[in-house]
Amino acid sequence: MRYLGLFIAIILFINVHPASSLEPQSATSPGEIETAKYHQFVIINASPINFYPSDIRSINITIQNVYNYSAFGVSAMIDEGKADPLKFTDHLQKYIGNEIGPKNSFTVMYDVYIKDNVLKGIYYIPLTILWSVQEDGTVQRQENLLIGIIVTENPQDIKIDTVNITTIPEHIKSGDEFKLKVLLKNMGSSRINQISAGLDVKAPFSSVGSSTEQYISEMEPGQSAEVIYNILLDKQAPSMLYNFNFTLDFKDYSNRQQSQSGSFGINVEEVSEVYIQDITLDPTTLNPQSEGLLMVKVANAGTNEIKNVRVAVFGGEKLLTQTQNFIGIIRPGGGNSETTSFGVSVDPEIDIGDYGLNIQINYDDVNGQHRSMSNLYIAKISEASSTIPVSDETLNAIMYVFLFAAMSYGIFILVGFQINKNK
Amino acid sequence: MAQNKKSISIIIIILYLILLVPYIIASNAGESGIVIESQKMDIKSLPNDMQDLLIYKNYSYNIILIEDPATNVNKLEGKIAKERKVVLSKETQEKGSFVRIDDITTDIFVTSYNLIDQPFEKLVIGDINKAGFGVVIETINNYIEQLNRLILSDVFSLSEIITVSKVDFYGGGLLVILVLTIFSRKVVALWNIPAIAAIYSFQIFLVVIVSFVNKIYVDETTLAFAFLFLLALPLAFWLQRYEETEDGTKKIYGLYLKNNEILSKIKHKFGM
Repeated sequence: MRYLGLFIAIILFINVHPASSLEPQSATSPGEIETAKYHQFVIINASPINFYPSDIRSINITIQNVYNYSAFGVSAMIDEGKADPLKFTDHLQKYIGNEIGPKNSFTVMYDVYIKDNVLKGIYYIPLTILWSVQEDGTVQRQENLLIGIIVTENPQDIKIDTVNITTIPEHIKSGDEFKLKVLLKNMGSSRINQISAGLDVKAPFSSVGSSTEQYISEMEPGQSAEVIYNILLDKQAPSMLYNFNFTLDFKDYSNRQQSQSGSFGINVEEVSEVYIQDITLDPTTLNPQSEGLLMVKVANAGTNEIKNVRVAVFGGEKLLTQTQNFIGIIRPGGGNSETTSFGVSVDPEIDIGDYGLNIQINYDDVNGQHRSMSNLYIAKISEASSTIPVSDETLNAIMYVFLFAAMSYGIFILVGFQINKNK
Repeated sequence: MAQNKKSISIIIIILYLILLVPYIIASNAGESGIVIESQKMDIKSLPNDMQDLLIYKNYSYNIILIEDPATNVNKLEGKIAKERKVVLSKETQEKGSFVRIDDITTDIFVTSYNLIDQPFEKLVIGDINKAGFGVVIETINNYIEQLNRLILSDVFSLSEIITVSKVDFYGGGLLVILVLTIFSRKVVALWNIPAIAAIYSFQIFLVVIVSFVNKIYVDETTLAFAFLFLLALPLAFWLQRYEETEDGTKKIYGLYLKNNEILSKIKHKFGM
């Protein structure tokens, strides 16, 4: 008898809750909320998930009841304590509906506020779904869901660009000291402060008279600022393109430290090592009607081969038989030189004096850049030495005296002839 | 009639003397010419090899283009032009001035450098100064320019005046003597001989004066010849009067016969 009452009570319980015998069993008493040990609700969509600091935007979270039984009295709730640094501007707990049937989904919307000073990264919205397994709301369950959102920098807010990089002088050669000017522009929509522009100066470059870190106190949106570095290039530096790393550290509008880095190239040009090694004039003394050779020896003391080498001589129209000779390639190295010859044929009518010949060496360097260098060579045209050992002045004087004597004699004969005729 | 001849003779002599002046001044100023263009110049803008020619590299230089009205140059294809020179000078002169170049350190024929955007034949480095009596050339040049503006043409030029003056320098003296002789009803006269010497000596005397003013060296022979007219001119006057006299005519005729005699002997000796 003593156990009869208990037996009747069990039978009665089974009769009153015929369906619950098939549902997941719980040790909880009616009215208590138990964390579900199975997944009845899953997130099937959340949009948007990309946020910028200081954003206030709505996020729609779609949740599906993946279980084969309905959920009753469903509501969603966000625990603000666990959500930090994310903030929500409306009700944290939202009622969804009386019954969410099996495989049915619902969407819940929250207004999210991302604080200004939030660092970029992934943050989670802690969403708790509460429901009852019984229509009368007796056995309650909850499931904790996490929705990940990505907080990135707003490109419209923080953007600093190196809009122009120039060097003074424009062309840099080994051994040069030059100024490197970097023009920065705040392309973002907010002010940035305490900008530090660091240039990574490595050998063969070195910084002279200025720091490799330059500071700008602040830059308003759209404002430009220039940083200048004084740099010396080693004399032995080979000609090539050198890479410089450039880092910008600054504080954004919310006083967060930001960093931006990039790189650019500086081209060190080949120092012109082509020169005229020797000029030989044969014969060494030129006179009107002289013939001979003008030999120009061109050497390449650079580190690279030079091509399309042409030697042109200007200003020698009355002296030379040709004005341009083609050499071709001259390889680098101390012993490598080429000699080109120009025929000399001095105009018989040429004026005596010094003639300036402009000797130009034209060539293409290793970068394919056309280069030219010129040198003045002075060729002296002297009077042809007379076969008679008398100076020109004396000869002229003798000629004038002879002419005068001949003319005087002629006059005398004519005068005598006139007198004779009159007689 | 005699009065007319005298007047014409005086006019011819004056014309001859006036025409002498431009050529003597223009051709005896050394490296000289009329300033055509003048600019201040930054030495560093010159090609390196040109900079090397400058002795005083810290001075400020002027680049001056001048045209020598008395010197012709043979250009290519048989063309002749007046010689143009580029002068690099610490001093400068106004356009149209007739200048000479002193203290020349470089004087070379150069055609292949573009220094002043105009062609030139010579590069001279020195100090540019006003040439002695240069005002005469400048005045003539101004008159020519005014005349050309008046007739809206470039028919006349200074170089043509200089050419006429040059012809006068070489042939004008002989022409004057010939005209004066013809006026004395003769084709030639014995006084012509010292007169020719006197007239050319006087021309050289003028050349020497201009050269001295322009500090140009004159050798001793030229200097001696320049003063020969002081002897030759009185001799010409004396001879002109002497050969008009009967005694003079007789003596000249005697000399003429003696000359013929010597010539005959020479001919005979050589079997002619």
